[in-house]
Amino acid sequence: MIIKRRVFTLSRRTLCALATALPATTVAAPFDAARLRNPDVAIDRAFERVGYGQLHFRVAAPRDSAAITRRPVVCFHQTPNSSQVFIEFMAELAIDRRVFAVDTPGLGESDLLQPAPEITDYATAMHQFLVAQQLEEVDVVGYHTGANIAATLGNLAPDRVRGLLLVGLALFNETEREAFIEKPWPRRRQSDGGHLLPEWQSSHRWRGPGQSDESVARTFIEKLSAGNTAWWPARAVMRHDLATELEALTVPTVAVNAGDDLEAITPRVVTVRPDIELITIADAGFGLFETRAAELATLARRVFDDA
Amino acid sequence: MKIYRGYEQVSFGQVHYRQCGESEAPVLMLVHQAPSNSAMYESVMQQMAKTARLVAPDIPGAGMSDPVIGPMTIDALASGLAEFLDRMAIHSIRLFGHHMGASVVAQLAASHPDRVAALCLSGPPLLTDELRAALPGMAEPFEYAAGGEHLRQYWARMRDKDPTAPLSIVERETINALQLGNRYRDFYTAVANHDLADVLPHIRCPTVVFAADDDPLQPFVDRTVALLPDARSVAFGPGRTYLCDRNPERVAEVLASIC
Repeated sequence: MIIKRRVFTLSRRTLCALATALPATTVAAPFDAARLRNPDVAIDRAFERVGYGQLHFRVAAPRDSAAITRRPVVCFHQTPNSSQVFIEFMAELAIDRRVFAVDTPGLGESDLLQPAPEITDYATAMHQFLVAQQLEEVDVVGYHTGANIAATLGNLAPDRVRGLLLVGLALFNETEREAFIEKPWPRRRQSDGGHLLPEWQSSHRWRGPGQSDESVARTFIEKLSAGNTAWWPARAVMRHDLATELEALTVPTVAVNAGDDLEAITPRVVTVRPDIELITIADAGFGLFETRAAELATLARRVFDDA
Repeated sequence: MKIYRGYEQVSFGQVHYRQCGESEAPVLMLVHQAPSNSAMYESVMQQMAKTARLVAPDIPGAGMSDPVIGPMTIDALASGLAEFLDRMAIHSIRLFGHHMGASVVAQLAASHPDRVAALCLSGPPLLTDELRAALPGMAEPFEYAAGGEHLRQYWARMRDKDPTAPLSIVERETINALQLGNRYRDFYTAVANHDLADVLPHIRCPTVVFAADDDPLQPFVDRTVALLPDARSVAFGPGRTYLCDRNPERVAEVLASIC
């Protein structure tokens, strides 16, 4: 269930519609349609050319275009994964709006951005995406790395970004940054495939409540598919001053603590920006956009539509 | 030269493809093996970008393409790609297929003789009855194991195809096999159930047939040529199943003869 910890500038309407977790998919990646539970929503994949190359994205929308009455939402995912993490959430939210989810450069099917980018470079590419798609006003969901990108985009294009929902904030201190940089990732390939096992076990160790085998496997495949540069967006996060970015935001923003590996880190937002509402989703963990899709869509509606 | 990627909307969903080359040049469509996808052709595409307009789709159900509706047969996959070509407004085409891709393009050439100008088959799966029976078992999915032991099994299966292949290729194919899950076996079943011997005599266009020296399907090249009305074989040279990654120059050389 959702526990409201702090409420400030945004609506105080009580959250409702606490839906149960969606049933897990039994279909192998990546067929989006098989994961949709809402026949009134369609989801497509596409590419957009931006300055550095091609960005891959998914877009969900009501089959009846007359049902589109709200601003579009754009979602940025965590590292190392892709827009696939949002499919169930997109299906829930897209009943009255278009919902985009873009693969971070170098992850999913988006072209690699070289040399190793900073968060500003990722945000610039996403801004170019908004321009190319003629998205004049959007709400943005950012998840982990995606939250860094979303916050930076909010400062880069405050005229386009009307609301931010940031899930998991990487407000690391210096010790935590150094610990990450010293950790070898990814592992060197071994001739017997033994290097895959620790990666797999890591994916399982961080499995969220209710997250299916297939969902964990998809996460693992995304991590592996991105190859030796899969860690680049995480590197960028570690070099990014998220606190300063958050301090500069003028866009209405809500933060979410999802009870994952940023559980102890995310609440630091309270000291950085006391006016940002922090919501804790209990017992969520990784995979929450799949296992708690309806609940998150309800939250997004409350944040974006009432702002 | 930059390889661009895209999707084409078809009746069963979306077909994902890679494309590069001269827009006015003859179109050559490259169709991949299982459990691969169009990424296996990136090196060949780079080699041939000045010779042809190259289009490499992910077969329906592989890579980022949606699966066909109904039973997955070679005929259904070929029909799916024919629809893809219609949507791309590509009417006259040259075709290349490797292993399962060879079955698909052979079926496409036989079903659409008016639009296929030339054909090239690498490792055509003109299987014996014994191999037909055994083929689906070679792609049987391994059970998920919390400790990840199944990953070693997939890895070993992909590495056995070419024990000298760079580990990056083995890893890519392992990922592809994991992604396909049961569909990997379904693709092999489709190949096993496809009567290639019955299809080949209906192909009217000039056809080049080859297999790398150590390709397990090399023994079927001569019989394939014998069944085709207008075909010749080419000696490819050393190689195994990952020849398009490992020797793209030679593949491009052979393909230039049909462009």
